[in-house]
This record gives sequence, structure tokens and C-alpha cells, in this order.
Amino acid sequence: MVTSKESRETTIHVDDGLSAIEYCYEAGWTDGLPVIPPTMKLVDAMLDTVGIDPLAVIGEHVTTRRSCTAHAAAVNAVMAGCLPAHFPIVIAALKAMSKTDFNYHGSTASTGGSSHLIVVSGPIADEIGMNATGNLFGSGNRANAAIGRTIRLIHLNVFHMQPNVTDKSTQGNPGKYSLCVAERSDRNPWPLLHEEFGYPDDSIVVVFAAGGFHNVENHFAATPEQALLTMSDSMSCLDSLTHGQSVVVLSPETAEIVAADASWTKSKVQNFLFANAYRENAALERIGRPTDTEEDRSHYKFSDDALKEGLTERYHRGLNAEDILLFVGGGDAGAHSAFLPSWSRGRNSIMQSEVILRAKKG
Amino acid sequence: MAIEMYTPIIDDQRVEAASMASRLSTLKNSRIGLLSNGKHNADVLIQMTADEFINNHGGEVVLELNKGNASRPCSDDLVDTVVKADVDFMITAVGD
Repeated sequence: MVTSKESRETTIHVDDGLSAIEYCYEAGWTDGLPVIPPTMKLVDAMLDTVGIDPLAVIGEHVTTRRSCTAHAAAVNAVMAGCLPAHFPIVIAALKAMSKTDFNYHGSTASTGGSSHLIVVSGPIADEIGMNATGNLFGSGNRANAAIGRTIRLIHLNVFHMQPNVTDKSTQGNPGKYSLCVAERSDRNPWPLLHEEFGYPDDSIVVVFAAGGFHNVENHFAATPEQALLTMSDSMSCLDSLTHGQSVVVLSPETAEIVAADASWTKSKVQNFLFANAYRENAALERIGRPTDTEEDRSHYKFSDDALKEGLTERYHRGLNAEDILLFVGGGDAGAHSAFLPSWSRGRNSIMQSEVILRAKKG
Repeated sequence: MAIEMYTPIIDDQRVEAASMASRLSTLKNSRIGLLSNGKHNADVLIQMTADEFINNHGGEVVLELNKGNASRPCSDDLVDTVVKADVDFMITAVGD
């Protein structure tokens, strides 16, 4: 294995730390915010955590024909503010996003302006101090902020998906600075994502190319149906109603209301949301949107055949209940949940997952 | 204190620019290929463009292809079909 120094030809010499930060600005290597200078010592510490060959390719952006080595990922992770303990999550996220069906190109280039959501599930979230509670999508936690920011810096610096050059987002998305959250493992009535995905002893990332964030609030909801119909109403909004996948993050308070009746399993919740997240064709026609074709309708999968009745007259969010990634997150208080639609108007990006490597014991 | 730091880019990944196709000496009676990127109205736009060529210079559309999905990379099979297409020129477009 080569060392990180041997794996790179180019190093920069600057007078001091502030000069290094300004150098990165001048070179166009930031997201607009200051970066940590990626010194050899910091980069080596990052790489030592995962024990991967610095030249190993861990991410690929097919359309630009650019790949990201472990070393390049480590440099960008340092710049974003990551600690070495955060780096295994960066590696896993990058691997997941490089899977063909994630459609890395479309989600980084399109006018749709997606942000790349990283959801961390499993013991690593607590081990490295990630935030799964209050201000889940807000600022304040180093791991959440720096891991998400690393992925963005890699898009900018390694894959050269530059705003208004190769990234043609019409209005962008605030999540483009960073969008990484942890799943809440307490106050969560359902199996955690890493268990649901078949990795009970490991931590995983789930990655999703997301459109705009919807805050879903109903403090008057007292039953599972009331709480979930509020969510499905948001999921039915015409501005983003597509057959793409979506993410639903229920607040602990809302999850508690829903799961107070034990018959409301995670699967039942997903099926309920899918069954109710639709609009009548007349609503689509009113705004000039195409409705489903017969071919489109052939791809729907319902848990109950009775739900197919009247299907020719309506259009659903997604194609089946499994298209909805459901987990719990946020602070103890408040019936504020979140819905994140697909960035795409179709099924152009399919969410992916990856097991997070365990950090090497120091 | 002086600092030595890495750069966050990978220098040796410069992609060679593709060479341009040779220019046509005439547009008269051309064999035209159409490649839609799959977006709404892209096929309409390229057909209208082809009609302009045909009305002004003659010729015919002999090949119509559709990438199917605008945001995904083009399949190798489709690239191969385009490369081997027996046409004088192709028209492609982004619709919406």
C-alpha cells in the first residue's frame, strides 16, 4: 500500500493557516464557507481510521468520467471539518451514491437541484455523537454537518460538478451545503433502518437524492389516521407529485401517537401513506400535468387489491409502499415531521444503502 | 507557521476532449438522424427542426432514436448505434 504522501503529487506550501484558507477560496475549492487546510497529518489520520489503500477508488461519477480515491475523499473530509471517526460514514455514503441506480449524474447536474441526503442508522451514530434529536435538519452538530459537507465538497472538487457550469440547478437547495442526519434509536417504536435492511449488528447509510424539505405539522392529530393523513396530504402536493421514491421522518411525538395502537406496524404505516398519497387526475389536468398511462398503472403495487378500484382516476406518490423510506427523528417535543420528495419528476434516482466499515482500533 | 497541504482535486483525471465531426460540404438531400433525450417535447422540437432542413434543403429522416431518460447516462448500445448510424448528420435536443 502506498502512503498518502506517495499517492499524491501535488502539495501546496503556504505561509500559515489563514493563508491556506484564502488559498482554497482563490482556487475555487470551497462551498463558499471556509475550509480546514488539509495538511498531511490530518489527511493521514483520516485514512488510518479506515485502513483503505489511499489510491483505492471508492466513488465514481460516470458521466464526467471522474473517480474519487480514498485519499481525495480524506482530503475533502478534512476540509469539511470531519474527524477521523466520521470518515467511515463518508466512505459508505460515497460507495452508495456511486451505485448505478442512484443516478449520480442526474442528481448532481439537473435543474431539479437535489440535495444528497445521508441517513445514518445503527450504533455508530451514538458512538461518534451524531444528532438524531432536536434540530435534526438544523445546524449545530459537527458530525452531521461535516459528513454531509464532505460529500458536497467531493462533488465540487473531485467530480467537478460546479454550480452554473456542470450543476445547472435552477434554484438549488439549502441542503446542498450539507444534509446528513441520524435515525433516532430511542423513542422509536419500530425496527431501525439497519435492522430493516438486514444488518442488525452493523451501522448503515441510506442515501437519497432529495428535493425540497417539507415541514409537516398537525398538533391537533390525536389518532394514527389523523397524523398520517396530514403526512399523506403533504405527500400529495402537486408541486412534487411523482412516481419517485420519498422520505418520511416522523417526529417522536407523532410516532408515539401512531404506534400507541400496536397494530400500526412500520409496514402498515407505509401502506397507509402510499394508499392515501394521491391526487385525482382532474387536479393534475387543472395544472397541465400528464396523468398516468396504462403502462404507468401496471407498475403500481398495493397491499390490498381493493385499493385498485378507481385507479384510472388518480395518481399516487411512488409506485408502492416500499418507495417510502420511513424513520423517526427530531426532538422530544413537537408534532413536526418531515417529508422529502425525490428531486426527479420520475423514477430517475433510486435510494441506495451501504454498510459502514468499522473504524480500525487505534 | 508554514503549512504544506494537499489539493482536493485529482490532477490526472483530465478528460480528453472529443474531436469534432468533419463538416458537411452541403446540406442538400441529407440523410438525417434524430436523437431525443427523452424529455417532454424534445421529440417535437427535433422533428420540427428536421422539417426545416427538409423543407429548405430536401432530404429525409432515416433514423429516430430516443435516449428515454434525460438524466441518466446514455447506454453503450445507444452510443454504438449513433456512432454507426448511416446518416449525414444527427439532430439532438433537450426538451421540456
